[in-house]
Amino acid sequence: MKKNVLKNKYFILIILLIIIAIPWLFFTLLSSNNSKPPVTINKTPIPTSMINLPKSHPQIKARLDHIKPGSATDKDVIRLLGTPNNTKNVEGHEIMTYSLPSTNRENNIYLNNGTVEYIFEEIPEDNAFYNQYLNKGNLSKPETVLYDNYSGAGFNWQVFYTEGVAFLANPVNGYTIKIIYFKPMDYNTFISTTAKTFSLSTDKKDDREKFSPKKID
Amino acid sequence: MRAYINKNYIHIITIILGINLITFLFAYQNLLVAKQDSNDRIAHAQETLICPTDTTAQKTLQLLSCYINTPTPTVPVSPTPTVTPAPTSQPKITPSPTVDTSCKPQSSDYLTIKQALSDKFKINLTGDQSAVWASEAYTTMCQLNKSSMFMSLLTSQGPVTVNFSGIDCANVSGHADMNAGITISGMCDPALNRAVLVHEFGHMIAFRNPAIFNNFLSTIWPATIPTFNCMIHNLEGVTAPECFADAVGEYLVYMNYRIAFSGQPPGNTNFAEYPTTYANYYNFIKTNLFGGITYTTF
Repeated sequence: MKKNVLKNKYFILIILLIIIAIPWLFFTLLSSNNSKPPVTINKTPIPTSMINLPKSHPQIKARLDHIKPGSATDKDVIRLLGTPNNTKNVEGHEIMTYSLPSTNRENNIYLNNGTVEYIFEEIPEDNAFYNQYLNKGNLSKPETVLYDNYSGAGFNWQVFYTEGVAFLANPVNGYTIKIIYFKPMDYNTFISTTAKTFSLSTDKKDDREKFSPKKID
Repeated sequence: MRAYINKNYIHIITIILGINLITFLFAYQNLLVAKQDSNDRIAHAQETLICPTDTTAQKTLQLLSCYINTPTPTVPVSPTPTVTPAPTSQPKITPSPTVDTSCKPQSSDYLTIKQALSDKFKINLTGDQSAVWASEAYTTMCQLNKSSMFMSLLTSQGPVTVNFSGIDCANVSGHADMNAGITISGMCDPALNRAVLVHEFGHMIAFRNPAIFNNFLSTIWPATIPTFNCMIHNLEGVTAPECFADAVGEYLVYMNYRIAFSGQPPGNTNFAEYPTTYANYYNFIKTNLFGGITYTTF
């Protein structure tokens, strides 16, 4: 009789322990999962010039904001942007190309010996970025204005070489179609390096279009 | 004995259930605290990392900590810009009208035509007082006026100044400036004259409506059309602004004239294949500048 009682007791105890353990384990696991610290990513600090830039085209801006010219590496670029659609070597630069969805355009990351030197960003969406940058930044006008063949559509390069950013923008309404990010530098260095790389000129060409009569057969 | 066990059994069960309840409450409280802590970490991370709101962007940003922290991220809404961006034009599809034979000025007097251009079409004529050229300009404006979209894109921000000079047929040229307007030198047959004027209007439309040109860069460029200013343009090579302007210039004259200079680029004297072989260009201009209005006869 005593043996039976003892056996039952142990059996009941085991069952009860299981009953205790199951909910305890369940909730302990649930709370530990949610209290898991977030995975930290070693982000390069955001340059001051980029902090002031309005955020747009979120899937592009969010990623490009963390690539700092002069310190980010090709590995940082791939980690943040993924595998490029194309890579090529042009005049001493390795260029990683990333296509923009639903457009014919692509962003280009220029590297020199594995380090990001330039970010050439296309802006396909409507915006007033240049004017917003002026409103938020420390400068009331560009440090210099340069030109390329987009002058024929009213866009000039508004350059802030000490801030490390240049906007291809309509100076009247601030509409921006391209942005170059680079390591801040002085004017002469900018002209001899960045401007040369992207064929930006100090001369605004006053060229005229030509037409000739159709041939009479 | 059995009663004793049963009685104790009940007490034991009660105690065990009580412990369960306490354990549950304790763990649930931990859960709430941990969730709040996690949200705080997400908020801090998002001070320097923008998490996009649209699902398309979310799918492409799986590497970012926005999505590592939480399986269903709560994302902040980017603040609305305080500066109103450049307005985009909405395509306005209107049916092609019947042929209009009244697109000629009522007078052959230069000053009368000049006044009519200003009053009806917001075109301010300056330079040589050529009644012939003014008359052709009036006829061209009358044709363009069939598209309310085009006229709005061109003149809603103010009149356009057109300076005309010279009668040299061999060297017809044009230039557009955002502030000063258009200058045209020389004149030749009516198709060429119209192509020059409308090409320069294409530049003015790009100046005043940057969203349209940006849309062209995204959807059409770097495709080209076989016209001089698009393909060659003073030996600068292919440029997007000139291809855009040539595409506009050809839209009214393609059946009669293909923009060329000194036989370059080689090809037909007209551009009859424009709507079909270069449908991307033609349809872009048709939809985004002319609202569906087409011109099949000169």
